[in-house]
Amino acid sequence: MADVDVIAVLQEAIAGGGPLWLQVLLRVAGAFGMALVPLVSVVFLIWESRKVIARMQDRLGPTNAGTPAGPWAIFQTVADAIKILTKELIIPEGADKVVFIIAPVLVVAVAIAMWAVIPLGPPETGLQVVDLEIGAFYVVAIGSLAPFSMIMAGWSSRNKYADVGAFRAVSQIIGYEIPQIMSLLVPVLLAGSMSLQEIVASQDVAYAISVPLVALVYFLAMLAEVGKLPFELAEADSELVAGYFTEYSGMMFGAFYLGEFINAFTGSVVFSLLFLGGWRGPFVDVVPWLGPVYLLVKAFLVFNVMNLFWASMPRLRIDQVLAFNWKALVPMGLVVFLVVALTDKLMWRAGVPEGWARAAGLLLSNVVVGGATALLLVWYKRRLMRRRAARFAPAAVPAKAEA
Amino acid sequence: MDLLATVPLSWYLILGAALFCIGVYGVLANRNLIVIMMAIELMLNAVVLNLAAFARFMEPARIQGKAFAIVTYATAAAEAALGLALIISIWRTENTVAVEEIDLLKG
Amino acid sequence: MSLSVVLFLVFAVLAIGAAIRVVFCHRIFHGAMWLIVSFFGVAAIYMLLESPFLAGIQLFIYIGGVAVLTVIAIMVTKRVMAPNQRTLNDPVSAGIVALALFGVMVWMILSLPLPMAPTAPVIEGGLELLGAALVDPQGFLLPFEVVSVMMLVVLVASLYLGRER
Repeated sequence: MADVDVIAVLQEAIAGGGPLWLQVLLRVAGAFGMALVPLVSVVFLIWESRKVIARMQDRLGPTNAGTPAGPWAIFQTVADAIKILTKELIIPEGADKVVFIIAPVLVVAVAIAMWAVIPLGPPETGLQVVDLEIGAFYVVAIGSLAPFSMIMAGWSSRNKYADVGAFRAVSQIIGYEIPQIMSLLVPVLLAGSMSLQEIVASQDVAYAISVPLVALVYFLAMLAEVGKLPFELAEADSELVAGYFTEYSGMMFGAFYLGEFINAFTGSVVFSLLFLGGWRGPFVDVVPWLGPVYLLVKAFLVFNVMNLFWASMPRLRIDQVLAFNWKALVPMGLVVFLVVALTDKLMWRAGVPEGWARAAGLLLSNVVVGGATALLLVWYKRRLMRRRAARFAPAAVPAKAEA
Repeated sequence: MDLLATVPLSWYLILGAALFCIGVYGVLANRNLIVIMMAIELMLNAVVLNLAAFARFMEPARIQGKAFAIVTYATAAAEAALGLALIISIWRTENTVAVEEIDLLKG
Repeated sequence: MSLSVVLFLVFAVLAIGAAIRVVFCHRIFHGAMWLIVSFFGVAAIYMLLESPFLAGIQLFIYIGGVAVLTVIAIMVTKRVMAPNQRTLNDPVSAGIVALALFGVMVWMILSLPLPMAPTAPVIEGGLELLGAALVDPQGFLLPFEVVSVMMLVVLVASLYLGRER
């Protein structure tokens, strides 16, 4: 082969020149690298979840159960993975084979596909597979593919429990997409672009501080989308046997489990990008590689808040879940979106400068909406209590008349 | 590999025409109402593909094509929702989804 | 054989092949799966046409909405899933009609003086222009509002049609 300077060719390809096939190859390699990030983090996060939840529930969690798991059982996830991989893959006889096998593959594929637009660091480091101009919309669109794997899993199992579980999970996810989109539109509105990199770049004041109500709505909607407690009825370990993946065993079940954790982690990362300022933090402009560190720390914190919910809350029933969505979250999402849009436009008209002044204005509007909602809820509860007391009081009258 | 050669517009239009005709066949030949719905969705897909191809090739500064495409998408989604609600309603009363057996208005 | 031609052919064959599997399916559930594959192929072609917004809408509305609805309808009406039932209704004349239509359309397309390449480069900020046009009274505000009213009507109608009897 001719005397080719490999390093120079690679550098040229990274910079944007060079032969086409090399650029394509580099892109593919970058995509693979990005796909490894959630997979590797999940290995750590599963262990961390189990330990932290156990401690919150006043027990120890996985300890050094034997030789391979290491001190504090840090290799517990590896042990779990080995166990799952060595189990037999059972396909029920009446099941639709092709669809049955594709469903878990689709879950993990969709979960990882979301990472194509997530910027781990500032643009100088180039830690993003592609900066689509519709980044936030892409996240939502890929998330809407999630109900499919559930339907496919539930339907192909030919099992009544799986069927019912699939329907419930799908109705939950489809319902909660609406407040998720409504609240996701607010950072898009305030930043003026759907590109995730630009949303992060425009957060001189993190949106969780200027529009906390929107962040709350997004957090709750995301909890329901990824299926964490209190919206965990898709799994429902004690109710529906195991929901839509009842008939799955071995690595196929492992794929669902993995997909759920990857979804939860991705949800926390997207929340940190949209509302917590993503890779922004002190000294990022000096040392750009601090960006991923900040983002992962923030995502880790959000993930642990979800763990807190998991450790302490009971599970809601399907009718409670859907009622909460359609009667509380959707109107709240709509109202707060309208109020924020109106406030932003008024402030722009009034010439309020960008930065802290605008953030204060938005915070004020959020507090007003939140206060009004709280008052409404208190009034509604008082009315409900009064009605219940009035309904049960007349029962005392016939007893008195009889006596 | 020659980077400069792009796909000519007629190829996109022929693809749209093919999808549309497959949809036409699906509507005409199938008995099951739901497969007919799916074929109608294919046809609408082909239409929007046409719109998008024209919007790209003929002067992209005019965004009429994309706006039309968005309106068509909204209409298609609404029509699919309503159609499937109708199908489920028919299923509840007639207990069939075969097209020839739903003839209450006949004669 | 440039890269875009190769990609176009791959996704076009995928879309058309999946569409054929949809209309010829023996089991409706598999037909719905092939429909989703066809939608993915078309979404990829939108990306080739440099409109990621339309590709996103395709993913979101068609696959995440219409296809999910179709599959739920299939699951609800699941008696007519037996593979031995006759599913096609006079396929020969339908095939003749479809092929004739295709022939006429292709002849019409090939006889038009269409551009071989895009006449102008993609403009930056096309998405903002689109958004601005959708709320511009001289632009597309009226269709936008009519579409939202139509959606409301369809929402109420579907709820009414699907109510508990």
